[in-house]
Amino acid sequence: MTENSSLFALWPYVATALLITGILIRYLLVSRQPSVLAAEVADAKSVFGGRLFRVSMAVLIAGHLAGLLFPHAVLSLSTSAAGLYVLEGLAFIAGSAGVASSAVMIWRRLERSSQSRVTELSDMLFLGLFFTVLASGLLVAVLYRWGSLWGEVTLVPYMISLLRGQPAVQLATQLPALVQLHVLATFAAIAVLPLTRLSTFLVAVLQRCAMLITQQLRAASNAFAEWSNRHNPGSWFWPDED
Amino acid sequence: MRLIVATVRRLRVGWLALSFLLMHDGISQSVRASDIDSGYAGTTAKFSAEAALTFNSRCTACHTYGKGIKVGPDLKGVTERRKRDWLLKFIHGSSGVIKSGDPTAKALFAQFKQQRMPDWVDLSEKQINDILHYLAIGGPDIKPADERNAATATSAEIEVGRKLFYGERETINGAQACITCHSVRGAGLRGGSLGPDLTGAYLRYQDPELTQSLRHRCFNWQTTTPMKGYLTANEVFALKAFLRTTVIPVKQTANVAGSRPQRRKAESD
Repeated sequence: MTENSSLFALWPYVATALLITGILIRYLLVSRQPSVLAAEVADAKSVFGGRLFRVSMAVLIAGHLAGLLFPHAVLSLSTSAAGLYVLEGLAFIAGSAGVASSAVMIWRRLERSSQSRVTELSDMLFLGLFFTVLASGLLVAVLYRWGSLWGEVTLVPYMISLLRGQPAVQLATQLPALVQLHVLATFAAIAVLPLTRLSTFLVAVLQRCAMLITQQLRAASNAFAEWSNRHNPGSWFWPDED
Repeated sequence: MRLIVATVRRLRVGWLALSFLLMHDGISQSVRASDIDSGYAGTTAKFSAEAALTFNSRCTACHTYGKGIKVGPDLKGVTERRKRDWLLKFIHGSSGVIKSGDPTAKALFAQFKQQRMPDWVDLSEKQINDILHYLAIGGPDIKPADERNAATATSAEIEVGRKLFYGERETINGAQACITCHSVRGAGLRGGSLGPDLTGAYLRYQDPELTQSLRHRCFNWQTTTPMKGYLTANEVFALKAFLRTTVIPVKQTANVAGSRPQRRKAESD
């Protein structure tokens, strides 16, 4: 296995493991301090806020997920030129907006100082990687036309192979270097994410999920206790004295 | 209690979504696998294209078909020389058959300098039977349809090639339309630019080389279905014929073919 192949076979798993571990550690650190978490979320909003950034990210993430979940629907666009132009045009506009807004965020970060140098550094590293992801994606769209189509026969099967635990690295290594950079930088950004303030959003989501699960478990246990009280065979033999 | 039911329902929806994500590729592959088009012209014999592909990729390194001994025996007439059951057992696991003391297997082992054949344990009984059927009907001697020169293509075949190139017609084994990554004269912006422009590819590669090139998958990786992503021989021929028209006018094609003037005439009609 060449170095390049190893990168595509192992790096996605390492990045995901780092993300999960990092988020869990952060969750354990702040789960009992809701006020701290709220303050961190507010701080993260100030760093990663901006409507343009959020909308462009939502469009890009939704587009990538649609490509992964509904490959046949996306591929059917190959027979309709108008549909293809609309899809690619929308993705290009979202990508351009993403690149511009992340560049603005980096500029603001450079101007602003923070109490924690580590967080500041990791935020900058993440933003740098994220900018690389967006810029390489935009360049891929310009240089290698109709990524939404050829991505369905290369990158989507590669992602599915990763999910199945049998990475088909040839699918990624056969692609141009710019596409490879886009993929590897995405996983690098995922790996760094727990060190950034952006991770507080994920921690907040995790805490909300944990709260919901706890509530449901508590309700279930109460329901079970009530049911077992009602159907307790002991009461048939030893009815309440009063 | 309602809460538990709701939670279970949500989990079930999540599990279904995850299963869909992991399985949808497999579903499409199994559907494709059932479509078999041998694409061998000039014969009424029917055999699986997968069997021909497996024979070419696994057997021809050590065996010939009617050209004498290579590393192992010539396979022409092997289905008459040996019983089907024995062949099935031997192909699936020759080492086991030799170890069991089978006299035929031992004799072959001794005759061929104790070169043991690999145990093709990954091949199913059906796949082995298909290969044996392919050998029994003389499959390796039948010339594939894609070996025909593209100059002999009819206008209908060129039109099929055009549709395959532009994705207006689906390929049998789920190979993607060429336009996904390539462009060609006349495609305009519709053509992809990940791969090279294929205008002139016919002249660059010439007929036999282009055939060889089209027989391979563009993106090579391990799939659960062996034929996934491959073009059938008829599809290879049609695409080759279409690519020829991007550099050689259709009129000339018709002259070379010695048949009726084709696409241009049809268009003017």
